[in-house]
Amino acid sequence: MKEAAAQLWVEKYRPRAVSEVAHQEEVVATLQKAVKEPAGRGDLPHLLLYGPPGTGKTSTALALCRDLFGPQHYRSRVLELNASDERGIKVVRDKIKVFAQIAVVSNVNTKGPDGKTYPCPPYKIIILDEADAITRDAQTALRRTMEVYSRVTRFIIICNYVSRIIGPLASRCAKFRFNPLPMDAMKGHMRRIAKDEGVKVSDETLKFLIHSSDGDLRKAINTMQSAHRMQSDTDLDMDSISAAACLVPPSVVAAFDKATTAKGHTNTSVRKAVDEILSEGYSPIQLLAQYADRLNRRTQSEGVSKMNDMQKASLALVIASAEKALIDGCDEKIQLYDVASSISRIAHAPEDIQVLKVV
Amino acid sequence: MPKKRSSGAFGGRDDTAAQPAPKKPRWVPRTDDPPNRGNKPLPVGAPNCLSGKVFVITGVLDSLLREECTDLCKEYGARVVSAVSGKVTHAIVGTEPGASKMAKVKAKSIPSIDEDTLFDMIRASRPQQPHPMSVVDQPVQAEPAAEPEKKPARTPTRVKSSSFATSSKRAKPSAATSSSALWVDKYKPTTKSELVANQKAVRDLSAWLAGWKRKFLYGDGHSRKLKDRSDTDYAAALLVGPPGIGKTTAAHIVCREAGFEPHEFNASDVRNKGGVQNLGETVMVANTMSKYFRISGKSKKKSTYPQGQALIMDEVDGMSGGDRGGSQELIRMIKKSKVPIICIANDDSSSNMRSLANNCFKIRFRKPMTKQVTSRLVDIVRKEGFRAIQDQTLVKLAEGCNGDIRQMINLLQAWRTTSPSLSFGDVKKRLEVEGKTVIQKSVFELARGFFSPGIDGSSNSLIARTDSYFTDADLIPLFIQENYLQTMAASQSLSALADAAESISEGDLCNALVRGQQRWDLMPTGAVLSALRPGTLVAGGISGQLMFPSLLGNISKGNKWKRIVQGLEMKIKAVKTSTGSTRSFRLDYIPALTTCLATPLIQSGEVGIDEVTERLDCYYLERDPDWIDILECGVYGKGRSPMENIRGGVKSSFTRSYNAGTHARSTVTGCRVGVKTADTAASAKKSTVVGGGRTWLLWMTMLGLTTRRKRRIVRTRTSSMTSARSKQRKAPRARRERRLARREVGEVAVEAEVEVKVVAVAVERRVHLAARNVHLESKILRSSSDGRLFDCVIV
Amino acid sequence: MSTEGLLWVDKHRPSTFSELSYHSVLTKNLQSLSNTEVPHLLFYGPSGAGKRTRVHCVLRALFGQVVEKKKVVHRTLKVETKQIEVTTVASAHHIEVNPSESGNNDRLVVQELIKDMASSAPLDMKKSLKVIVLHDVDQMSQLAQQALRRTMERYSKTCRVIMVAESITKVLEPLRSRCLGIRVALPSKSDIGVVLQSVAHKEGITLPDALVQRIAETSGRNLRRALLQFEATRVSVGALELPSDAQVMLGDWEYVCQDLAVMLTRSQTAHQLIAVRKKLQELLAHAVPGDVILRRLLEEILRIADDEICPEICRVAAKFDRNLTKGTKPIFHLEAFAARFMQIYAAFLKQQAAMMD
Repeated sequence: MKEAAAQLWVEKYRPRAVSEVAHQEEVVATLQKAVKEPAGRGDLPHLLLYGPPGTGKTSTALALCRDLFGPQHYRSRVLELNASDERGIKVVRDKIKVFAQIAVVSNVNTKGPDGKTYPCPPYKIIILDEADAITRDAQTALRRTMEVYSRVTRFIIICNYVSRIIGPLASRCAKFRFNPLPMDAMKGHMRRIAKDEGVKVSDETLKFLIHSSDGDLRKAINTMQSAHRMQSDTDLDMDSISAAACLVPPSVVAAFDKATTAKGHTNTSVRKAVDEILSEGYSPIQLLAQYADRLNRRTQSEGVSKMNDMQKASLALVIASAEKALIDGCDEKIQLYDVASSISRIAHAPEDIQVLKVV
Repeated sequence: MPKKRSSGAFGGRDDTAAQPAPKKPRWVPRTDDPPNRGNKPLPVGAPNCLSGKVFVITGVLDSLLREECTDLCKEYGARVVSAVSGKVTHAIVGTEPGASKMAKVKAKSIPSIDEDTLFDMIRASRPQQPHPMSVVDQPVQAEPAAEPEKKPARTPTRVKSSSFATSSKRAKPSAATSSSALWVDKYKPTTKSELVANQKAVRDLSAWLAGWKRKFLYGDGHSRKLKDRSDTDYAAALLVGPPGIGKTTAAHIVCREAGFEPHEFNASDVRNKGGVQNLGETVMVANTMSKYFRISGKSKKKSTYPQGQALIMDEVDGMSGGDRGGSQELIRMIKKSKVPIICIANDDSSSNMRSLANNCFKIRFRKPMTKQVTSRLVDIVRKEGFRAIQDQTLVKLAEGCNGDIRQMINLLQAWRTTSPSLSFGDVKKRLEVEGKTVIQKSVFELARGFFSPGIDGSSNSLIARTDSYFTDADLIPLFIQENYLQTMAASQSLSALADAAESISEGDLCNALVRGQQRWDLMPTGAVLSALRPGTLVAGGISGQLMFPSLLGNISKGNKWKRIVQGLEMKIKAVKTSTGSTRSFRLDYIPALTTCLATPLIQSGEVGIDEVTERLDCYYLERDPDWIDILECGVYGKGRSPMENIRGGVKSSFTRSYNAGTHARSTVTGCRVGVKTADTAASAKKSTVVGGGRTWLLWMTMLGLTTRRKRRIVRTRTSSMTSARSKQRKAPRARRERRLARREVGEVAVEAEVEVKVVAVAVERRVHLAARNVHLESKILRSSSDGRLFDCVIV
Repeated sequence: MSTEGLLWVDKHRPSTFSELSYHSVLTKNLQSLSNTEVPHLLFYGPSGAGKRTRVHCVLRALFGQVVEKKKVVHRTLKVETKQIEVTTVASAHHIEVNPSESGNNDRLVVQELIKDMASSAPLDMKKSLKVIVLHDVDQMSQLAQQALRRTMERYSKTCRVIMVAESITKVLEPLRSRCLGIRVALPSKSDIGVVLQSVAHKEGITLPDALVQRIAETSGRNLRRALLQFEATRVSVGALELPSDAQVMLGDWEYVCQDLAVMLTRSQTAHQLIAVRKKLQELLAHAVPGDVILRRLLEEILRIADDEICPEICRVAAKFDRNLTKGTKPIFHLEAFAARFMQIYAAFLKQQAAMMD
């Protein structure tokens, strides 16, 4: 029991076969064909899977390998490397090359111990997870390896930003983009896990959870697990979700909005609102992101969403530069002071807005 | 307020312009801009019309900088001296003349003239033409007809690429230049008497070489102790002196004349330990071989080199770096050599040269006197068929090249390829472009230059300042930062002050990028932001010596305290607690601890000793150094320092009673390996010099000025005078046009300065923007909601 | 060892859940967590909120009294050709380390330490877990955080990681999602009052409520700072009964920042700026970080300056804060801020004077 509890749900509910992968129809269809086709012709190209996190890239790659080789040959045929392994140019030259060189016996359509038949094509697969973190030098070194040993080795390169992969490498692969999961697909998936794990969660909360995770299924599952850990006996509510996802609770964002835009507020009181938020330990970047979200919403009739486009545009500039500063590691208080006082200045002069000079 | 004009214009500073004009700032330095600079046409007169006259200049002239006036006089054959003496024929007096000079001028009853009179004197020398209209013919003959062809030669890049290409075609007409050999080789002295300068050094060298065999081959020279030796008792000689003054040539000539066969090894040979060893052997073997040949009858060599061989080691100061162990091996070789060795170096002050110098007979070569060189140059010029070149021109060339004979001859050859005549102005311009007029200044002087920017053409122009920035790109910004508050302008305008401070702050960002990401391309931007711009913004004299940057001392002090605080933290951590981060340990813990460890002693004197001792024991801290460190760690105003507030008597009785008791000591050693701070290392490190005179062009290319504009700036920069003059010759309304042209030159120069600043800011902004774009880009990829934010920004 | 001489902040530090006085919901959750099995934890929140105290309580609940026996160990890790020295605080069951102190080598420190710890079999098989506490995770390099993520997974059977960070945003998302995030907010002013009064009670000191209020104010709700200020104030008063108008003892640098703000508003000349620079340099030389100086200086200035120019001052401060973070020489940016403020303030005063006329 203890072991099971310690297991991450993400691992537990990882798709075992390509067909189980949620929502990525195009990829799934292509890959399934690769599995079903009479193997031995080696018609699987090198793959480059890219897209935002939590959309199933790694899961797909692993499931594909499992489908192809089955548990029996999995270990000998698949090499999995991710960012936490050493992946300098040395590793590319030694480990990857050595593995790529090994010839394999063609034992097509072997029966696995579980009785299923696996195509087991005559090549090996090297999965390079989080390939955006591989240095350029190492990527360059990889080019030749990919070509020379393509007869016996296929590469699956997985990354978030395809722009970080050097051109020559990307052009050798069949590219598949993974899209962020839409609300519905995620909802079904989450419901199922919640049912299996006995998590009590209302539709509203689930919607909030999914919305806050931006189409990142892994994040959503992790958040749910964390929230469940902290609050196992009662229904999950918005606050516990916010806490588990390190979000700023919507009420706090609303209060911030109100404090900065409402009439009659002095600069002192605006700064006080900032102090309050910071001493609660909320993440300022998260606050800004959620605030920007509010900025874009047109449904609400109060606070920042009431502003005209000019105001919003200049506000967006302020927020963007503060966010950049925060990511660079600037002081949270000073930056938020700036944002807050700029917001109140902009809010109080709706007619006469000049786009604030970006300094 | 004409005085302000130039600096105000390119400083782009609004409030300076608003300053009351009549209040003429006290700090105006002597070299300040003439009030009507660029507004007067330069006079044109007959060549050498001023010859025989001797001028002295004092005060600020009406339209010319002092250097310009000097050049003008020299161009027409006059001499300009700096001190008033009996020989002076005229004193050129401007506004605010030097009092002592004027007194002397009066005493010696030398006629004083002003700038305009000088101009008239020059103009008057042109006899037949009353005025502009008919000027056309005559000057064209006086001034070389090659004028238009020469133009391209003025941009430095062209000369280099084209000089040899054109030389083959153009060299033909004059018989003397028929040979394509480098003049430097062609006119290399071949006998001792032809050596231009350093006669004594040459004599010393030949005396040493003459006595060599007697001492070291047949005598006991090698075995004699170092300190017993007199000057010439060394087996090797070391010739030291600046480049291009004929050291190598002298060595060769002396060797030959003394009957030795010179064998030269220079930087192109491998000269590490093994290399030198091999070389030594080769020489020895060759020696015996030639002897062998001599015996066997092939005796032609015998007559030429009866004394055998001599080894010339050229450029020995270049033997560091790759040539590991080379100089040690060389010293070893010297100690038992069978042939005389002559080493040649530019600089003997470096550490690895010192040990070599100790084993050599040192002969110093000095820069030749201008006169000595000029006679040689006159000789060459005559032989190469230059048309009558004035002595003044050659003197200027000799001065400009800083005594480097090789350089002078090379320059002459380059000129000869384009034209058979040479004027004073050409030489001057050429030297400016080549940057040979830069004189080594101390970093103090260089930094001071930034606060008194001169406009285009003066000795402290934008280019000059950029160059001086790159002589020490690490130290100059610190100097600027240390001193920019001291100028007069700084105390007058707060906004200039704030702008300067901001610019310095942004310069540091550039610096961080250069260091952190090797963005060397940002070096020029850094130069503008951290030195040129702030200096210009608060331009003005500084009374007294510049301060040395206190920042350096403070950085090392900061590191010391960081180390101490970390050590204390570790000691206290070992006790049952853990105290927040290191940062909060310094900010919260230490102040409280200070109060607890000092106040009892301050308030209750001896009674408080027990309390303090107990606290120290609790944390396993010791009186020395921990207690002292904690008390001194804070920053206190006058009278608040806890250490000072404890009475001396209490302090000493605390020490006594503490030492009397036994105390547990922490097992934690104070210091731990922290993060090395790069600042000190970086600032101590010698700077990487990006470039000298060429920086300017490089820089403009980098800043992406349009080609047209670039060409314009460079053109006006290099050929302002000539173009103005040629216009005068051709056009009827020459005077007006000339004025216009000159004004344009001035404007473009100012414009260029402003532009560089603007562009520099733009580059910096681009860096910002690029950073933001990357950021936004990544955000779009990250999630769709932020993509919306980006749209918003676009709006 | 006597504990009498310890500072109160150390002496009265809670070491069990029952002693914790505020954030009761959080305490309950932590308690129930440590009773079952602990996932990897990530504590985050502002300085002085009590993160480390809570980490300590969790350790105490897991392993009992033994964790109190800590010692400081200097270790030398040999990785390939490099030798890295780290200082750790360790007991039989846990090890505390601040990897960011090792600069660029933090990745190796994390990998080696966890590997080392996980591979040695635990002494007590019943309490099979070992815990590694990582301080200042937000200061660790990206590479180190990436490495940590993998290492955590690999050794998750024998080893738990508890991380402490001030800012959650600088912790990588994959790392965040692998642990249970625990936000520790600053105690409210009344919470601080309760803690101070209980300490005062234990020490036999009379502490008037007005003074408590002021300490809570000056400490900015930072409990550690509040306790230290309380004790410093007590020592400087010298009696057991504190008067309600006693001056709260601030840190040395806080006084200097106050002085600076006064200097800047009193006169705006180049001469004054030189004096300001001297003070700033002195602070920096005494190991006070530049961003702390800037923040405090801004706070002090905002307190003095008129409301109208505050947004502009904030704007300028934000700009130089950015420069300060990216630059290498803090003094340049602090001085530039001071100069810019002088200009703004002088212009404002001039405008005011003009309006008066």
